[in-house]
Amino acid sequence: MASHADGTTPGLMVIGLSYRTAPIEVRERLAWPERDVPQVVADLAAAGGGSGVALLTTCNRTEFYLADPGSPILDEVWSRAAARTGQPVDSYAYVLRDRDAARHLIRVAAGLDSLVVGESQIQGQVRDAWDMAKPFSGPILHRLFQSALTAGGRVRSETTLGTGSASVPSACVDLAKKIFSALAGKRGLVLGTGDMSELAITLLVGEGVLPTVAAHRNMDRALQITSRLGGQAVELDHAWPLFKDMDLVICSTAAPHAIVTVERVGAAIRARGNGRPLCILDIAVPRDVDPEVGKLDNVFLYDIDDLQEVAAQTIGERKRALPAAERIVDEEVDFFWEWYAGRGVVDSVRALRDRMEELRTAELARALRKLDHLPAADRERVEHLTKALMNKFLHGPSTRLRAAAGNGHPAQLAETIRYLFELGGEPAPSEPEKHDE
Amino acid sequence: MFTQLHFVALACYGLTVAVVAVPFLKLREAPAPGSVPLVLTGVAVVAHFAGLMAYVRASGSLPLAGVAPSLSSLAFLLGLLALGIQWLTRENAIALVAGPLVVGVMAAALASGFGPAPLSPREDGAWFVIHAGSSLLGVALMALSFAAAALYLVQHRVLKRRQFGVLFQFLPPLEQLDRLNHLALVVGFPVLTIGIVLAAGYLGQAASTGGARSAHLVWGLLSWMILGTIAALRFRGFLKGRRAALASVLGFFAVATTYLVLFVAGAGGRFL
Repeated sequence: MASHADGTTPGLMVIGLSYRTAPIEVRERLAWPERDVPQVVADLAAAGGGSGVALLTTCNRTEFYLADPGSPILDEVWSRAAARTGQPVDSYAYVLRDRDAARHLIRVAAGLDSLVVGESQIQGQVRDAWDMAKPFSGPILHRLFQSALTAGGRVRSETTLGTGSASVPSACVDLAKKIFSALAGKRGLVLGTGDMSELAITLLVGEGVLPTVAAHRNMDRALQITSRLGGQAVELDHAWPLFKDMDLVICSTAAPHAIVTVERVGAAIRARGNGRPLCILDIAVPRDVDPEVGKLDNVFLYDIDDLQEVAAQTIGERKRALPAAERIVDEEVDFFWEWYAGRGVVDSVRALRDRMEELRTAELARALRKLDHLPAADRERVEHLTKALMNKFLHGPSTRLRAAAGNGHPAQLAETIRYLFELGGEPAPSEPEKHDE
Repeated sequence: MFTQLHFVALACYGLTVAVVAVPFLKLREAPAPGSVPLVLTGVAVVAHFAGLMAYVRASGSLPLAGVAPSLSSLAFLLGLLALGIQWLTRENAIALVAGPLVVGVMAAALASGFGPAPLSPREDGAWFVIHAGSSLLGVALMALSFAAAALYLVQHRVLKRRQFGVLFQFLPPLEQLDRLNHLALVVGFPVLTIGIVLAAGYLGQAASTGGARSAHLVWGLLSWMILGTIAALRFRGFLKGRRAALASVLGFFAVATTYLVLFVAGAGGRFL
């Protein structure tokens, strides 16, 4: 997988899996906690064979972005993914190259590849991935992530794709309301104190739910939240018996495995009143709740995929903005690709400019020797004229060369320029080629 | 005239069911906002009421005796209750179950030969009117309880299986359906009790004239016992949610089946 059919190495590549290709059982095993991402990126970069690496890992996707990847780094990616999931991930993974890879990240950042189309959280996640990978991202990925974030910002400011309340926390409320007709007066337990938990608590409190926040390590944060929004804070270990009295439980901890198990909460749930439903919304990845808990009587358990599916049903308004958003993506892909492919002729254009400058300087000196009678101001005007002419002559060809390189065969173009203008030297070594999938 | 009006009502009830059921033919499409089914049910109930009034004018008595008139009254009460639920909750899902029940009962009424029934001297008395009226209302409430329970079971299954399609969007919240089931039982049981008690008294009075049939009382008592058992279990907190819904569905089927058996076995000629 390291190279194309024609034996060339792709300049830009994304290897990943997402909600489109892998079930949550696989995704949650592959997802890295945010704190581990810089180390993973550093390890991959240390494996060698590439000029840039970045890792985007969210509840919906885990994607490796690689610039000029060679065999060592590709082997490392595949082996790490397999080791983490405990199985080969080939059947779940997709591999995109060059322009497709660039387009993919730009669409992801714009929220067009999200299950809840237009959701805004992904923009921050892409920015975080870029920040964490900066020491190892290299100029190509640096530019690509910039383009992606620009596209994301434009899509949200120039279209209505991000309008409305479709989000995972709002889906929590929607789903809970399909069980309880009104949430006012219901008792809610929130496990975890992260941003998503806080957002969920805010929405629930707005619906009249009486919240209890359970924190594992960050009790101060739990107390902060409850002092601002009301309710009480408890240690996570003390939360399990509370399942007996709760109507709604939202789980959003960073635990690496299921912490809500039948062993822990089964007795409390069975002790509930006859027929009283318990809605458990697990928005954590990896999941906090053992699926077996959902098999208990009157327990309605939903994970992040379920919630996103519910949220995605409320995006009718957003669908109308899709064509405009796709146009913005196309523009940003074109901008990026022009830059990216143009890199192959940059040296030739620079050599051409140097050569022309050399000729201009020589010819100007010769002419000025014959115009010795001119006053200094006029001599400056002549020099300015030659510079202006040269810039005008070269601007069109330089721009068109970069554009033509973006359409393919930059090496041949560079060679042609060097031949036509007798520039000498070798073309730039790492010119990207346009490859087909 | 009353027959034509009944056909108009039947068509409107049928149309309501069709409109409510249409979204289910489209995969994962949300149903249209529900003013159309509500209006159609309203028109059906008005036409139905006009039909019953025309019958009263034509026959000179209330439509409580005879198979067709009493079935029509039962369908009317159920249609009226469904309309009330649709109006109060702004949810049309109840029409998905109550609608076919109404259509079925009306069709049976029309098929059994709608026409002025000869009344026995006692069947136009206040005793009989209250007995028959409360019995019909009790049965209609039982049918409503069944409709809510059936929807509860479907929604429970949808939610448990995480099927977020048309049904998920269309059906009301579980708690609301459970409350409706509970309310129908709470109101239906005393109403049916009145009907049964009056029937016993009426049976005693009618015994001398042979105007009453023990099969009707057997059926009424059976309905009362089933409804009473379910209501008692609910009041005591033994039944709630899915179990209560299952009990309501089973109870309704038991009563309906028993009635059909008694009717087919030779007690026909009158609904109550």
